[in-house]
Amino acid sequence: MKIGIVCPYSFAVPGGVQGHVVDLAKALLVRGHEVSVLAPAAADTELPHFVHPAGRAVGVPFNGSVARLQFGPVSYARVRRWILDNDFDVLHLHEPVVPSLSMLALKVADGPIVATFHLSTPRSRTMLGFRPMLRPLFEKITARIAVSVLARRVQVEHLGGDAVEIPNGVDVPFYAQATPLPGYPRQGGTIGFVGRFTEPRKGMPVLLDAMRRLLVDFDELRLLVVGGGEAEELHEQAGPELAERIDLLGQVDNETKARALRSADIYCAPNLGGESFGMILTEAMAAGTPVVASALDSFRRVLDDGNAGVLTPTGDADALAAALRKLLTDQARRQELSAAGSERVARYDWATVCDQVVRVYEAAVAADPRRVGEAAVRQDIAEGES
Amino acid sequence: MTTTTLLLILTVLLLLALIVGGLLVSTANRLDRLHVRTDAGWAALDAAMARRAVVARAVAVGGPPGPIAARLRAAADHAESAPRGERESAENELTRLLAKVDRSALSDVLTRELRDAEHRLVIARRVHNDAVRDTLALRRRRKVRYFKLAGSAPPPAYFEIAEPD
Repeated sequence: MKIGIVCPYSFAVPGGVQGHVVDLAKALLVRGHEVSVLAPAAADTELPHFVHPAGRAVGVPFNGSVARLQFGPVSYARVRRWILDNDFDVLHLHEPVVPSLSMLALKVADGPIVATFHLSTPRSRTMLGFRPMLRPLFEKITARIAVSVLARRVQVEHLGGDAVEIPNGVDVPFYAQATPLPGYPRQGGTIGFVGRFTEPRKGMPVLLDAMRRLLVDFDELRLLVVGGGEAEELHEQAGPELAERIDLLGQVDNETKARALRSADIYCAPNLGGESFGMILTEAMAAGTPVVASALDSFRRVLDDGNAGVLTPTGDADALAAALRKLLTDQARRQELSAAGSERVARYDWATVCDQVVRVYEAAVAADPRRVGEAAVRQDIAEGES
Repeated sequence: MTTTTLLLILTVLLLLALIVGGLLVSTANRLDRLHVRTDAGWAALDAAMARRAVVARAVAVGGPPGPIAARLRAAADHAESAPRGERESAENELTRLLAKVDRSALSDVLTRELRDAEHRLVIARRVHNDAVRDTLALRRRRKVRYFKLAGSAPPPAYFEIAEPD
């Protein structure tokens, strides 16, 4: 199939949607499909060969952060050119609810169009306010994908339309085959944490509290932290005794992250909320590391209700400490969880996820048997005025 | 003086008529496209159901013989030949029987084929119902009802069946 994918966010900054788009494109290419990704990017950015740059993006505050988006007549012309030149079988737009390349492409194109919705919080009231105006545009979407149960709920309740739920994919072999960092695996127990640790909803204080309860009995126990944030703030939160047990790697590339996940004996996700899916849990499971996570809805789903990992009450340091203690002393249980996690994560592997996405492409083509072309906008206006 | 006013009023009225006319024509176009989308969505859903019926028959042949195999074949035949009004319950019956099949007793190829057919049916149904939802939403608008922009096209109906997990 010839597939055109539009990513609304610039590849100059790392992000969930961008990563998803690149991984999906690669998985599709492996399966012999032809893929072109249209994304905002300046001419001097290093890009994968399948990415077609659409020019520099502008920073727009959206949904609590700055999204680098693109809009305007120049972008419009570029999107149009890209669609006309490529003659796609199917067009796959990511996050077309934000004013961006995706929305422009939706305006320009006609034919089988698949849209993926990543947003799981209906926080953008402004966007919802524009719904009546956007309705004619959204009517052109043939099939919709939501990346999580929550994203689908937003879709059904706020945007009016159903979606097929297809989870985010994870490159299982990449994590499963990563070599542990030098010096690992080590004796004495290592607990892993990945994320911006100074962000309250990531729940680092809960993990630190739990760690403090374990220090006496496990005098070699260490905490391996990957992610951005102020190191000083972390050490201050931990206190002098615990601070020297923390190994902070800071922000690292994907490979180092995978190696860190392979190095830990237990991966801990003490998050307090705000997680719509739990990508990092699938990565830890892919690395074969047993997971202990707060019992958030999304985590519960990924961990198969506690069958593929340990769930503890959210924000409860005592319960977390007890769960960690039990796992640290029970190697058989750790191996059991690791095996259960590896089995569970197979459903999130790109091999599986990509097949599901292709099914949606085929369903869209079946439900709109044309090729992707340009919408007859001008013709409508001409008819309207005659 | 009066002629100028009259001319002005006439011009305004003419412009207004043009704008309203243009709006109605573009709405009619939109509605037409939605009806096309709904029809194509139904054709795709019909094909997905036919595919599942074929796989169900293959399961009846390739699975363990017994009363369920015969019932499966009968349900697949009935689902395919059922008129639109009875189609939903016929498809539900087939879903129910397929859920009863012990999948571990089937060959890997057949299990994969069955799961694939079921997933395609779920997608096709949502794609179809999405098109129906958009069409009905536009048909309910006042400008469509007052000016009868939907013409004689019958309103599309949702296809409601239980989804296999």
